[in-house]
Amino acid sequence: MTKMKILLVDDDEDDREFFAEALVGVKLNTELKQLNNGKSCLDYLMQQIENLPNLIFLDLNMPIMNGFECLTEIRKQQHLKELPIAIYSTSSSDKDIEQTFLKGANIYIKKPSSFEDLKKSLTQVIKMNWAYHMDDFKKENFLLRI
Amino acid sequence: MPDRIELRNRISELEFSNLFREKILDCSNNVIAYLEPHFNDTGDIEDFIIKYVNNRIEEITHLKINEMIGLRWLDYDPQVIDNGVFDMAKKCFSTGETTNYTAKFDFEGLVVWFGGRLVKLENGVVNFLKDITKEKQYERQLQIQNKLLLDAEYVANIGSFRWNLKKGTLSLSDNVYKLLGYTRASDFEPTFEAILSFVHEKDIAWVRQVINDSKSKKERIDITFKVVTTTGEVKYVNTIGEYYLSDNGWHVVGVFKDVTKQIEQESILQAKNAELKKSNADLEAFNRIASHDLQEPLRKIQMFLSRLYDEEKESLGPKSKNYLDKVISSTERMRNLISNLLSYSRIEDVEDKHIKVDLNEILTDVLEDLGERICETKAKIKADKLPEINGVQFQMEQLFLNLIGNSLKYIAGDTVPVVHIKHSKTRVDAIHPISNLPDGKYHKLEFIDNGIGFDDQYGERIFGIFQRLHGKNEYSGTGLGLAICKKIVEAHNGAILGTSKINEGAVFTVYLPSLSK
Repeated sequence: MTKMKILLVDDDEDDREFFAEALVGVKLNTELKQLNNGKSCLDYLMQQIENLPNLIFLDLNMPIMNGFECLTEIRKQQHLKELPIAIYSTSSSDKDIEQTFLKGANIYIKKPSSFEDLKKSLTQVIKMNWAYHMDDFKKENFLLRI
Repeated sequence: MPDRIELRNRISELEFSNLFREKILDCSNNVIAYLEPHFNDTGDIEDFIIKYVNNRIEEITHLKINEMIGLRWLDYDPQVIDNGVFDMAKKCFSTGETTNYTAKFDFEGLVVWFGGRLVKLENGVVNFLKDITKEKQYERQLQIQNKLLLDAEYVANIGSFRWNLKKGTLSLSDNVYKLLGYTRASDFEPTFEAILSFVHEKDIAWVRQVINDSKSKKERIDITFKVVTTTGEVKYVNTIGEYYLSDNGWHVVGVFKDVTKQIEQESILQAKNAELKKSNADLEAFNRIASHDLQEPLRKIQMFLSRLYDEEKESLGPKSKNYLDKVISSTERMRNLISNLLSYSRIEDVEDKHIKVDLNEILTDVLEDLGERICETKAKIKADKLPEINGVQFQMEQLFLNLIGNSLKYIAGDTVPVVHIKHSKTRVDAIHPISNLPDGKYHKLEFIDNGIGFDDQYGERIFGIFQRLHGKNEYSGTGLGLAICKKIVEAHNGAILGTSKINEGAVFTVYLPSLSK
């Protein structure tokens, strides 16, 4: 079974570390690439026509290009329209959450405050993403808020 | 006997002439009376004898001519002394001068105004009387209306004007002079240019332009501009003028209104609005800070704590483990506090998201969320069938969660919590007088528990922000739960009340507007 390629875009080094550790902890056959702002994410995706990640975790509050802008730019690209994107942010504002879904995000995860919760969330999202890639359900139903 | 025939003819001629004269006199629209003076012993006029009155008097009054002819005037109608007509008649006879007068008569309750003319004729005086009662009534009405108009102008701070475009004349009501700072109307010759000279220099050009344009198009004028009064005071004046065409050409009739106070209040209101907008923006900024910047480091602390706990729980001594537990519970408390503060400040943000909400479903969801706590305490919760209301779903969930959560939390020792949620319908007049609810039907939801209750004197204080009746170590909480409830209920146009006695449970009553009117 091929490894699920996950891209994490977050400027916070600690959060990237928690994420990476939790991902190892859940043992779900994944490989992780980390970037620290929206601009570098977009540049990376434009070069990876053939070798796109299977799932992106995108922080909102980032320097240079924030998550909202990055999400908008990604969805403008024909080859990135179907790429599953999970927003991964501290904000619990309904306005922010609604905005990201309107802009084409599939999942919204409020960053958890315990390591166990983070592992649970990752497990849930990754399993769902496998199901999506296996064509178990349609894209328009691929929406989740944690 | 030609003489006899002639005499008879003469008499008949005379009779005809008398008849003719009387007919002529009776045809007059005016009362005509002939009075002859009656002298006393010293030769002064004591009275007049009524010698003749035409029948017009019978049409105007109830008087009968045959009851007055030959009578003394003063005996017959003493009021001519009071209204001065008797003295005028005396004077007219003595001097021979013709006299005009206006006098009021009262004939047994019938008030008649006469415009009279006294003329000396041979040995007597002729009194011509024209009935001007109607004219007098119209004049009186006009006076009253003018007075009312002036009073209204005075009360409303309005002055009126009438501008004759052909002649260029301008007539102004007293209030216009007052508005411009004059104490007397005579101090100022009203012309269009004179009025314009009061207009503030910043406004004069466009005011002149607007009036000239309206003059050529005959379009209504409605402008507000500044004037500088004679005392140097700057006032805002609103002028409205309508054009109309009369026999004398075009006129403009309209009003000047002092709107200084309104304009000043408007500008104060605008300034306050700007202030409000700024403070709303500040509040939003604060919300952002609270939602992200405060939560962010706290979440990190909690994350590191959870890592630390996982890694070190085996190796820590009992004292250090106790410290770590306290740090963990304190950070958890802070997270609750921030999230409660946020929900408190966001309650009014969602006003336009009201939908039909079934409170039975809300209760089911909330009981599920509280499942663990209900199991632990073996709490019994019963509820009537609840209504549907118009509201914000998650806020209703929070309301039920906070109220039922409190009933499960504030419990004495090992008592098994019992919560009863009752529903009934009520009208606004049956609701406690502290509420200022609009008229209509309301749902009354009572959350009744058997908990520790509270002293009724704190019935209002418990809904205040950060109000706690117990120490944090006795019962956990942020002091925001009931404040959030109150704000949610009020955002739904309802009211909430708490009543209780210590150790006898509490009743929280929520009123929400009914969907059916």
